[in-house]
Amino acid sequence: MRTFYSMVDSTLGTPQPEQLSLCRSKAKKEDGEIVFYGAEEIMCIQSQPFIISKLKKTPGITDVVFFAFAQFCYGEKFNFKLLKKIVQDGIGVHFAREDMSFMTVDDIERDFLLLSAYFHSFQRRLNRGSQLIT
Amino acid sequence: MVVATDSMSPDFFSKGYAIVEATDRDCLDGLRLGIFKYLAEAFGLDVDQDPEECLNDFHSYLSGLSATEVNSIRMDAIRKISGEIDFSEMIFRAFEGQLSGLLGPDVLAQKTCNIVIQPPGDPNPSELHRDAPLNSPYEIVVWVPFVDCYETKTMYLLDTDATDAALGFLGENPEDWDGFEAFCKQRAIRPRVPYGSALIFFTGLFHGSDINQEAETRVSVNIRYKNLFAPSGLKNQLQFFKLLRSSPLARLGAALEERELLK
Repeated sequence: MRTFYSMVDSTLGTPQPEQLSLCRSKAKKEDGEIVFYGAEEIMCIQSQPFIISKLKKTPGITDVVFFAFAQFCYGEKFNFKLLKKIVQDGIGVHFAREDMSFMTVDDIERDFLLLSAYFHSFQRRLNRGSQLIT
Repeated sequence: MVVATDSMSPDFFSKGYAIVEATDRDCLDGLRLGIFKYLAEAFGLDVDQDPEECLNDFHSYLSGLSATEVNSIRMDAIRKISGEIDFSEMIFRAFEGQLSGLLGPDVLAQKTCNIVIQPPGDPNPSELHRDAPLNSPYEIVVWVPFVDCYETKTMYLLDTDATDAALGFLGENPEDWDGFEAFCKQRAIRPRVPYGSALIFFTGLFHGSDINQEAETRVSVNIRYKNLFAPSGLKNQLQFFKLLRSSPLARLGAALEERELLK
């Protein structure tokens, strides 16, 4: 049984219980369960500097499930460095809304093009002027 | 200036849709056979029958089952089919000669494919709607029937001019849905789409289906494709799409970007 740390997205209007429900489903799908519930500090969402130390300090964590991949896209750059660092530290990274999992560096590098294109598209969405519907 | 690609009918640029023939018919035949076998097994039919004949006549095998039973078996079959058959790849390959000019070399495909079985008299046709702008307007819908479709057995859609007129009507009469529906259906076309072809249309067109009043069942799939770098709609690109094709240039660019992000 894998043990998950969960990180909901503080910026979304989606209620946290709904986010957690999806995170739990994702953990279950990956043969695990959430044993620690984390929350982002809104001032730090661009870089999430706390996550590595949180994961290291929490005993027995094998995986972390984020609600949305967007949690790596709130800065000026795609926070690829952090994503890769977590996986390099031996922690599986999962995204509940997108139903995506990265267990190895190869997984991340294989999907880099898709993730990068999403980041650029997401940045365009943050710039509401470019949207047909906002 | 509108530049037509070599591969796509000029209709697509003037009307927003085109009916195109498969450029890899063997691939399409393989897909239909695969779906047919799953459906035949799920409903206890002879898998050695002619797929076209059996799919057209599919409603006759459902007569002893309740609507709930039919739906339950159908949903199980669709789940199995979706898990076993790579629809996005097979449909793209079957029509690649037509699609690649529209989409370019870097292509995203919808993760899930919608399989629709519409027997005669089915009271739940698809409601009139547009996919974009909630979906990306730089996206296409590929509608592939596995039987010949015509009259009420096919779907209906409004071309670009009729869609513009319909939007004008809706803007002036936002509360009058019945009037809007009648306005649209008067202007809709119901394209004859034989098996072996696909209806490809722009996501910004109004479309839907009527109650199938023909004597045959419609079995079709629909799936969406867009360019990897085209703006997305409100739907989360990572949630709904997967990468299907990438060009050497995109891969080189991504490798450079990855190195820069790790500095």
